[in-house]
Amino acid sequence: MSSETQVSTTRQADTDLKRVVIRTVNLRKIYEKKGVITEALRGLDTEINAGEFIAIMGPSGSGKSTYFNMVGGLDSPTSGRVFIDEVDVAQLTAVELAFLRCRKIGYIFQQFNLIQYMTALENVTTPMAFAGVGPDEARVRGMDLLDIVGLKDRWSHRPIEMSGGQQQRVAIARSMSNLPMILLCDEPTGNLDLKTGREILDILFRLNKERGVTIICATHDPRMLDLCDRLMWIRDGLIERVARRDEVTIEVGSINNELE
Amino acid sequence: MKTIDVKNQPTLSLNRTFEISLNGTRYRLFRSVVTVVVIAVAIAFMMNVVCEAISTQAIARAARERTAQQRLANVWSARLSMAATPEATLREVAGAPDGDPLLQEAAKLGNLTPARLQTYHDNAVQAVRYLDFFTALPYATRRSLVHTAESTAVFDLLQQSKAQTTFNDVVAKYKVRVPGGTDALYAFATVWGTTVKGDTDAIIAGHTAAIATLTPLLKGRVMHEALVDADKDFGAQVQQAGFVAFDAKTRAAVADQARQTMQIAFIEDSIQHMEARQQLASRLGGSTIPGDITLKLLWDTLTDRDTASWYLGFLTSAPLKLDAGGLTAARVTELARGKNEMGALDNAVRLTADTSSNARMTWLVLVSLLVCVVGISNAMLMSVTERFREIATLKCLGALDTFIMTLFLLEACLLGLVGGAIGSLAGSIIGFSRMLSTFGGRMLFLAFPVGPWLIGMLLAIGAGVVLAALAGVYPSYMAARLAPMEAMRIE
Ligand SMILES: Nc1ncnc2c1ncn2[C@@H]1O[C@H](COP(=O)(O)OP(=O)(O)O)[C@@H](O)[C@H]1O
Ligand SMILES: [Mg+2]
Repeated sequence: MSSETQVSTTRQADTDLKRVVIRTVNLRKIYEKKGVITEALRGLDTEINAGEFIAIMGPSGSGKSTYFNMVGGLDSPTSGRVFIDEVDVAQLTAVELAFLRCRKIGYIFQQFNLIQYMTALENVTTPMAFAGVGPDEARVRGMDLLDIVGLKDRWSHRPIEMSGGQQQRVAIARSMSNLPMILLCDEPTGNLDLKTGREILDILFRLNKERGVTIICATHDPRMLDLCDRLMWIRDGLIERVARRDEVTIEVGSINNELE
Repeated sequence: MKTIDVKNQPTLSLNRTFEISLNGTRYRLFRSVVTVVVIAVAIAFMMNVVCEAISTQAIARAARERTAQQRLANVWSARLSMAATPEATLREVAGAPDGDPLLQEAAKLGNLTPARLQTYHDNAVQAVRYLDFFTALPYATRRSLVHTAESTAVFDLLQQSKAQTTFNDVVAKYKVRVPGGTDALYAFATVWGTTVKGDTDAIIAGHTAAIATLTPLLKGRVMHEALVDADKDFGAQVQQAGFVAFDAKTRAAVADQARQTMQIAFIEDSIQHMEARQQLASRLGGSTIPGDITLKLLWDTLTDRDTASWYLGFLTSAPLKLDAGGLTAARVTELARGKNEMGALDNAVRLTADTSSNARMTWLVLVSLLVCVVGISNAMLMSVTERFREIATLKCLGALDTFIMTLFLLEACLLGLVGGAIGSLAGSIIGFSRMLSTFGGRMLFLAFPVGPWLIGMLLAIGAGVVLAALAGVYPSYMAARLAPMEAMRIE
């Protein structure tokens, strides 16, 4: 799992720089619960290019998960628009949304969200079944994906029989099962210890570099700095700052302070 | 600019869905078992009530039929010794189906031609309908309508136009619904006056005359005793006298019963003798004293063949030297067993006589159905609501709403089927064993309602499946319709 060694020479993001896969226009989300109104997102305009690795940073409660849910078509915004590959998500029917979630986007959650009664392999092959892949082909592809995350020999284990890091790796394999072009991760290392978190980030990094998957990762893990192309800070539902990594590394000390 | 072409998502095959559903049910075995148990208990409760209702009904019917048969000797004893009333005659003719010997008997006694008998029969059916109508009326209404006229006297009364006027007024005032309308009733009253009454009287007269011819045949006995010979010359002579319906088959059955009655009387009378009581008490041993010997105890003791043989021997030898009239030990045991069965029959008739129990049963079935609805929906709701996160996750992976609904539908049906099957079986066992202790095994065995029971089983299982399916699919439908994150937020 040593992605420390120099990976790919040409960067996907550089060759296909201008292709925008995700665009949000004046994105707003207001939660109302028992009369209490929370403005989780207050007008976000963002653009994410194909092949980019984006880290979304911000303190807890700043709106990272809300942004993630809107962009992934998992919840509907109060106002504003989300375009995935220039398709307005709000215009899609329920069936088309299912198609989008099945093949265009992979999701990785902080709580892993594996199906408890399925084995690792079944968890990975379920989205393939939804996509209409036959069981035999699904098994082969599922084993390959488990191999990539280093869990080939644990294919028959159920989630409760695995550690957090292993569960998250199964979740990554599952998110890749229909080869999506976008991978959305909501605090993928939030529930893991430092070393395991590092392994997860390495896998994500390799997927980005070797397969050109666009990765959007909400996190407050400072190690993300080494991996991502761009960083986006959100605070109180607004974009505070967007910066390329090379602009940030110089001031790394101050960022670390900010995170503490 | 290239756009993703968003196509339709394929539907997962039912086979795969069932596999996944079964997988999940197995994994959550404890939860599933709890749900199945709740469904089973609810269905068992309902099935229990249903079983008791259907067996009570079947036993009531069987008991009435059998006791009616056993009254055959009594019925004939009465018919052969007492003149009938007009109403009884009408009812007998009306209740006899075409070709019944009772009809020929009526024709012979009343000297009616076959055509006239047919008309008389139709009129008797009419008459009985009206008689039933008048019997069912509240006393005050009846009194206003026909004053003190009873039974067939109302037909006599309603031939008069003055009585008809009063009748019309009261019908209008109390809004009485006369079957077929008042005009038809008056028309019948006229027919009654012109032919039916005369025919009825003729039959009764013939009947009375026939009874008179029987007196010398009795040779001083009362009719009930004489009927012991019903399967011999005496019976044939009775039929000769005009009682056409007293055919060979009836005679045999009546003689049999009359003999049985005599034999039972012989055994039961025997404990009037102090010696018999003493012997029985010492044979039973222990602390039994002669005063303890009751009829029930006597019959219970006599179900044992050896005891029966001993007792019969004792009665026929010195000092009592009673005449047992050809009674054998085997017959005594048979009687003793039959006596127990009679007890069960009488018991069953008494227990099922209460007509209000029908309404109570309906009420109980409704309540048990309500228990099922509440219990099953609660169990299913709980097992679905704790899986909203799973529903949301499946939606994130690209599941269609229909897949999620099918998944939960299959699972609910499976749980409902297993719970329903176990429950209806358990309910039947409980219900029938309760009936067993109430009515006794022989009675239940004789009248076991196989058909209604099977239908009840199917309905109970069906109720389990349908209720579970509805209660499982509804919340899963609600959850599946939500956006994944909204479903995930529901706790
Ligand atoms: N379902 C909800 N109902 C009401 N308020 C919510 C809900 N989800 C999130 N919020 C609020 O929206 C804000 C942003 O939340 P979230 O996006 O989860 O932040 P983050 O993921 O950055 O920690 C918070 O103030 C949170 O309390
Ligand atoms: Mg969050």
